[in-house]
Amino acid sequence: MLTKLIGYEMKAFGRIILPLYAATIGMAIIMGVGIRVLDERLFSTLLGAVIIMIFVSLIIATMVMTGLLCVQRFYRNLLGNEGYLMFSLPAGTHQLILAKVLSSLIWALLGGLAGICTVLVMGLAAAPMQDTIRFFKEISIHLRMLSLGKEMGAVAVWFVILILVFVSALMHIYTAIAVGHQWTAHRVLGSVLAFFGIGIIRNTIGSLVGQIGYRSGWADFFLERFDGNLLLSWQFQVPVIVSTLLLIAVYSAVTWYFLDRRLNLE
Amino acid sequence: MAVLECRHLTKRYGKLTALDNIDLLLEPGRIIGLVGPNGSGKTTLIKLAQHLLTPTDGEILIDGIRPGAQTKAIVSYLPDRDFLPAWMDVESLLRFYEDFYEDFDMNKAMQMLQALNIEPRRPFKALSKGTKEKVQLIMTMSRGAKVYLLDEPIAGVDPAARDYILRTIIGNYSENALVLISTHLIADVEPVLDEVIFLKQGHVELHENTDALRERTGMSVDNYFREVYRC
Repeated sequence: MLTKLIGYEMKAFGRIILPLYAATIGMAIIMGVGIRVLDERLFSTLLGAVIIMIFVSLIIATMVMTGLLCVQRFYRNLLGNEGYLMFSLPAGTHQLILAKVLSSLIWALLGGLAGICTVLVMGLAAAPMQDTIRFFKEISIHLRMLSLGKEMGAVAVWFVILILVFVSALMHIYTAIAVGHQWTAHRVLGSVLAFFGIGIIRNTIGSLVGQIGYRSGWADFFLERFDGNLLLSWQFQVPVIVSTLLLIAVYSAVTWYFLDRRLNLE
Repeated sequence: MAVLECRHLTKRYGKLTALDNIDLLLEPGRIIGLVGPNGSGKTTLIKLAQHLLTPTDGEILIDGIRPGAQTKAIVSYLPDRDFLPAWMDVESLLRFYEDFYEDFDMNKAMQMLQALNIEPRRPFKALSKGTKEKVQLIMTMSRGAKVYLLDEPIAGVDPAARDYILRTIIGNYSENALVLISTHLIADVEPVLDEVIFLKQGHVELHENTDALRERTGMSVDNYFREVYRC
């Protein structure tokens, strides 16, 4: 059931996002060819300025649209008229929520991938073939060196942290929408107020836990072992991972409670 | 055994009581009309049965269990509004139902589309209001469900199409299924009803076999309704 729900979400997202990806990559090719033909002169021509403006606008539009869709697919598809369809499916509420989170995460990651592709495509279009081959050779040497060192492990952990922070931020919004939906009227306003209210509660609890940590001395366990290297430090990464996972768990439980036990579709 | 049961079911929206301590037992194999004026609690009752609303008090059971993922597999629900994603075309919508509901009969749905001259490739948003309602009804009635909850299924279609829709309902529901039709167009649905429930200000005013009601009152259900709810 979850796979089917995610598949449906991918289609709903894709019909809007994929044309934006295609347009962005298309503009990257045009820019690359422009650089190859005109060199730096491209940037001083009117045509060049227009191409850059369209290219930047497309990148911004793709990012904004991805963010908007992550929120809108939850709000409209679950709590708008389409909610009558979604909540009538033989799926658990947890599956409906999880499908939204996972599909949003997949599209965020695909967005990053599309960004990398855009840069590569532009580079390929702009540079002569021998330069491109040399560039890829250098990249592969760097990657091989990196994979041998412990930096690669740290980068992987930071990547996991990035994903967890994204999910936590998304669940913060979803929780606010679920809480705001309890209002009989002005549900959008309710959701906005809930968003800030939840943020205040989270920050207050966070600083209280921090203070307790310092006063009781258990924070010293991490601080004493901290070698000053933020990138490689597990003493910094572990508390971030644990606290973010806790936040996600709390957000998920609250969202599920309001959508399952207190659901009142208009 | 009742396939839909309400026990002291109450629903309040703030200070407004939409349903007040309702008790009902609805048997399978019946087509039951849920009638009453606007605001009498018809839609609220159906939404509670589909777990789209949470009861304030009491409970509602479908096939002996509280509404949830399990009951949604055996309940086919038609809401009183456009609820399908407008960006999908009609055929994609049918495929969506086929994907999610094991009891969905694709051939039956396609035959009904053909009978009504509805082009499967047309985007849902490009259809007229009446055609949208027909597509929604076709999707709902193409399931082999145990319970059909139809909220105002004929309100938005022309009188000629109403006959087709009623024939579709009678011709397509499973023999041992319960069909609960909420409507205020009683004259149109009266010929197909086995039982009728009158709701008034959140209370069950009457729940009776339609033949028995006509015999007892000497009136059609429609005329009796006008008598009961006269302003």
